[in-house]
Amino acid sequence: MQLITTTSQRKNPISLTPLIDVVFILLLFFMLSSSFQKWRQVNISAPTNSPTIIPSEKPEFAIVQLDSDDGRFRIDDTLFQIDDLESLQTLISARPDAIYVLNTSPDVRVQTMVTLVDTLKALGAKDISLASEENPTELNGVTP
Amino acid sequence: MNFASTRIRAASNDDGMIPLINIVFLLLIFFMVAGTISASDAVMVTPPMSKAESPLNIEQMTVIIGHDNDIYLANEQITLEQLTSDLTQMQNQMLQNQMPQNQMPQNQMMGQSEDSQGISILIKADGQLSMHALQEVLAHVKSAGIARISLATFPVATSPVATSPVATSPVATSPVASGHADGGI
Repeated sequence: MQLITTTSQRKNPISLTPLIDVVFILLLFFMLSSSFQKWRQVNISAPTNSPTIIPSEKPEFAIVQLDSDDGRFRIDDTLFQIDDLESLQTLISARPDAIYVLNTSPDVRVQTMVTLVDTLKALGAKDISLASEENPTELNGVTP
Repeated sequence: MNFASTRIRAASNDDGMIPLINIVFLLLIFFMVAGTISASDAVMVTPPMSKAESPLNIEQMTVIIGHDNDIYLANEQITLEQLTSDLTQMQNQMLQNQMPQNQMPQNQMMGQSEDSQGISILIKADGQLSMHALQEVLAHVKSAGIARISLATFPVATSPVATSPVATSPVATSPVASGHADGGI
């Protein structure tokens, strides 16, 4: 009995409770302030920085018209479904070097646009541009 | 009597705490190492899900577009007009700082040359936001002479809401209408 008390006194000359308090506060701070979200970015470059347009060659344009969130869009007046990867693949592999100009309706969601850009990019479209709303001839290159 | 004595002994003896402290320390180390501490945004936005792989460049100015189309530059709410003027000012300052190094004042003044980089802007827009809101901000950012703009996204895989309204829509497939017209712009 006496042995136990003396060893415990030697082991804990000061109380551990203040240490735990401080560690808990540190833990709370790091738990609340740290974030685990992995942000990514899609670059939208202005036309002057677009490297793929060769001035000597007249670039070929494919107009992508995105009017609704239901997954349908038009490429050069042909209606496509975003799930229908085969038809899209056929079209894009026929014209991989075309500049895919994305015209979006004002009420389409940003998510829809980003998904469409992702899909086109995944199917091999090299150059995707987002047309400006008030001036459709002003293109912004989009590189996910 | 018996109760009282055991309680006093338990309170004065911290040995039982050591496993607790061990675990708390482990948690602390985990959060210190795995988490990244960053300033929180003015408003919470749920950016669009994307397969984009480019990691976020933290040195960019952040423009946040909230749910109600309210715009924040550097976590302060501003109007669209203020956005243009503030960004123009920052852009000019940046270009002036770059000028002595590049020694190309005529190009720098234009703000359009290949060498002049200027500031770059990250737009954090909510995924459910309309394109109109994004296009408006884009137009104002570009009218400030800024060429490097990026849109913040979340990677698709880690998101619990991986299904976008586009991917899940049960609409008939395959191209319907015909007519290929090569559109020139």
